[in-house]
Amino acid sequence: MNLRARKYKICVAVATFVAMAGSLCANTLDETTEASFASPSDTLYSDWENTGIDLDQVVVTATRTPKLLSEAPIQTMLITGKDIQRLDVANVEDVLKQELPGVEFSYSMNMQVNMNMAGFAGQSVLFLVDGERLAGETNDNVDFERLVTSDIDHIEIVKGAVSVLYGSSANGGVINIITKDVSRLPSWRLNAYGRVGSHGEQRYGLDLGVRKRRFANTLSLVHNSTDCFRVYNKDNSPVPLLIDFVPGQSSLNVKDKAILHASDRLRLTGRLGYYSREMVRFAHEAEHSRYYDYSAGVKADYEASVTDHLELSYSFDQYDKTRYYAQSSMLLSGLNVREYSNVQNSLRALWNHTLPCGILTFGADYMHDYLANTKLADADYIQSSADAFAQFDWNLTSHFELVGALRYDYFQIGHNSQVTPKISAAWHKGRFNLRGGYGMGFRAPTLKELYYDFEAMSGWIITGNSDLKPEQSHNFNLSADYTHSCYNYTVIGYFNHIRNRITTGVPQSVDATAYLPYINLPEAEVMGFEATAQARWHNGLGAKLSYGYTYEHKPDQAPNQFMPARPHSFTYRIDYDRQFTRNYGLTVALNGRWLSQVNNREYRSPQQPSEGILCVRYPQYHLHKVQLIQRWRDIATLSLSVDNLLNYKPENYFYNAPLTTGRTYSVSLSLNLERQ
Amino acid sequence: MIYMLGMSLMAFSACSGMFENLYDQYPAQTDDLNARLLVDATTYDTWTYIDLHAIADAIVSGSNESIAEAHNFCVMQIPQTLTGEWDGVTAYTRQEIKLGTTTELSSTPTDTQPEPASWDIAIHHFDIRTNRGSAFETQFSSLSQLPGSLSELGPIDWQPDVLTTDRVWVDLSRSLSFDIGCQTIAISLPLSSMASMDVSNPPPIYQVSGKVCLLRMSDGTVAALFLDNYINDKGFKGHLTISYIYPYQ
Repeated sequence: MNLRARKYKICVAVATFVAMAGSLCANTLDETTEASFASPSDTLYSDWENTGIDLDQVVVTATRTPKLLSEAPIQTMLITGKDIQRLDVANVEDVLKQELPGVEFSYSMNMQVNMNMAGFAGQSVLFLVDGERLAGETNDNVDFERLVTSDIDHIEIVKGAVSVLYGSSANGGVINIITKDVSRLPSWRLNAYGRVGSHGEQRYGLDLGVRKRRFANTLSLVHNSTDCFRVYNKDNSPVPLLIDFVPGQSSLNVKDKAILHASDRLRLTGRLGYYSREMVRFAHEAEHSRYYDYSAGVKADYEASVTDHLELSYSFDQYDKTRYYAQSSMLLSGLNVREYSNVQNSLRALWNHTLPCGILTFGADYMHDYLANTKLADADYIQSSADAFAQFDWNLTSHFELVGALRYDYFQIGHNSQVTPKISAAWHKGRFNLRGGYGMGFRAPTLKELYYDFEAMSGWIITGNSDLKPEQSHNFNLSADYTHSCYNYTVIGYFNHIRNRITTGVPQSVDATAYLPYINLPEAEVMGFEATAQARWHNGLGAKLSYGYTYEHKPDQAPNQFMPARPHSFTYRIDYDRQFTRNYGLTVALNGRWLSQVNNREYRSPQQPSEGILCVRYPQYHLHKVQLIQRWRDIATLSLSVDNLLNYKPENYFYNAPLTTGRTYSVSLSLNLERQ
Repeated sequence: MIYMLGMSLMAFSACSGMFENLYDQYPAQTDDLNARLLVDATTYDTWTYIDLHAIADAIVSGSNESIAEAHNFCVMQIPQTLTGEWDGVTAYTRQEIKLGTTTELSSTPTDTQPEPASWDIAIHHFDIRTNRGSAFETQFSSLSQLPGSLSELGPIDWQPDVLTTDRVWVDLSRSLSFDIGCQTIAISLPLSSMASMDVSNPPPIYQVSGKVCLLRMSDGTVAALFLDNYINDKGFKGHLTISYIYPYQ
């Protein structure tokens, strides 16, 4: 390890972690630096290294400044790249539902995926990739198929209101996917992988990375496909709408990311991306749904001084939906017609200034949001939004830290504006951390919720409501974690009081047509807690057990048109991970999840509210998966997986049922060639 | 270099996005009535009646007014009650139509479907019936592929209209409960298969046969029909464009 003395002094002084991480980042590709550890995701401090638990991971989401996980003033949940490897899954959806209790994915009538995280739907959970928003259903669920696991370094999850740093849609939390740091590449690396599994699952990918002096670039291509398949329901369902077909998917994801260290102080990052997906529900369907995304971005990180770090970024993201006429009449055959387009142009500035007693952060964002949708009352809308925020992370003592922040947001449509405050405190004593805080969250109504005019079925029209008010939430959270030897325990409790929650209201029948409007629900509450215990022993054994409890309360007990959060959930993982020789390593992992039953009040007939309400009980289920992963040097990895080990088959495929027809199998092979 | 290109693209892109030219537009709606039927079949509670004989006569007359008049199709409401004497067939039937199964929930006699004095085919959304005629689905996927004469097709298995109780959907206001109000009436299965909509697994699944169909009318004359389009230029379904050859001899 060949560090410059100046940098090394900062590390030892541990004056601030921000300065440490930032200054080392700028020198990653310096020819004098042989060790390639200087990225925000690197391990520098080894207080915890003997535990085998990744508390020394640098995380950035909670404060928008790099912090060690164990030192973060706001509880941050971490899914490491190693965790994702052990899960042997192809997409982020599978990672989240396996690793986080209280996370569930359900489906809507057109098989779009909806996430629920601890009582908050996808509209209230902000998904970021390297800190950047994703276009899609603006401020709604993202297209989860876009998020491939192969280029993920780790995932940071901050639950509760984080609107003060991230604005609208972050009142339920933020999931920030951090991709692999290109500057850590060797001279060149080629990784090719393939995976085949049940239901025609095929996945092929290629990652090519090169690094030369101050420049590094990585190009990745992933092709994914699955067949559509039929699922069979018993004739005892309390609700009429069930899933009969699981659609087939075919997608292509191409990404390029480059880093140029223009100087010791300036790092430039650029990225380009292309994504396409086709969904086919039924083999002979005339119309297929296609989805496209084009993205690009540039970011400049500038170390103005040892204490000042400036970040400027521009991001472009265009997400289109089309209807492709695969098998159709003469005039339509082969046509691919765009029906939906969301274009986001975002500018972001962030300035961190390190003081002897803490870190001062100022930031501002501007987003130009364009939405064209044939299902909107007028075909297209443009909304500009801007914000500014300030945060002070104050180290009162060596054990006690206080973070205060204030943000102002402005939305052009409706001239909605919002000030959101946040305050958090963290007390660190040895290996015990206690954190608590209050944050105000808000969510501006989406363009869809304001202006939707969509005849989902004949006689059933979902209508927007231009009088919607922004949703406001008050979030209180308290967490504690303790690490001893190879054990780590975490408990998190939270309470959210939500005003003007945006949801669909009571269907209104007019001339045999049911109109389903969006409304503000005056009051709602979501509370719960999570407890996680994990261990990693030196003999290679590891275990993790998590339990989550979620309680949703709506005073007027209005029927819920969305899938409710399940009150209880468990996730677990037991694994054995050992490098037997220099050439051969083995991982055997068993993981699973259990989700409790949940009751929901729903309209007996969605189009005829006068027919009354019924209480539907969605049954519990548990799924388990076993993986065997063998590694030969750093060159080849062979994985064998058996999912749904106990061969669970739902009686009825509700919109929140697991889409499994029983035990499934997959095998994957990854080949890696590189030169240091 | 790639990034220079990428950023240049972005710089020149409008804030409303780019790559518009990668996508197609719905075909513009034509007003050319030459050998073409344009039918607004978006409603579920009506039949639209087409008189091919009248259109052929108007074309022979050469009068544009007559041609336009012949294309001004008669639209008639589907009766859902019985006000007079029952014909013993026509009914309003509520069916539970789930994927693969149909269960009759109730059936109520209704008035006979009103019809104009002269017509050859009637269209209800994607359902088609004939005026005491019969039909046949060929294997040809365009009118231009048809042989020059009917006799070159060899023996044809003409199929008359058949009585259906669950095909002509009149009321879809309870379709999310799979409870669909249908008209019990005879339709032509070959002609109705040119396009179909299935709501038993919402959202609707559309299928088209892409085949030329032959229609033999009660006077023995034959027309060849082909569904060119079922969507208007705004993307709304139920706007049918049907090309035809009449008479096809």
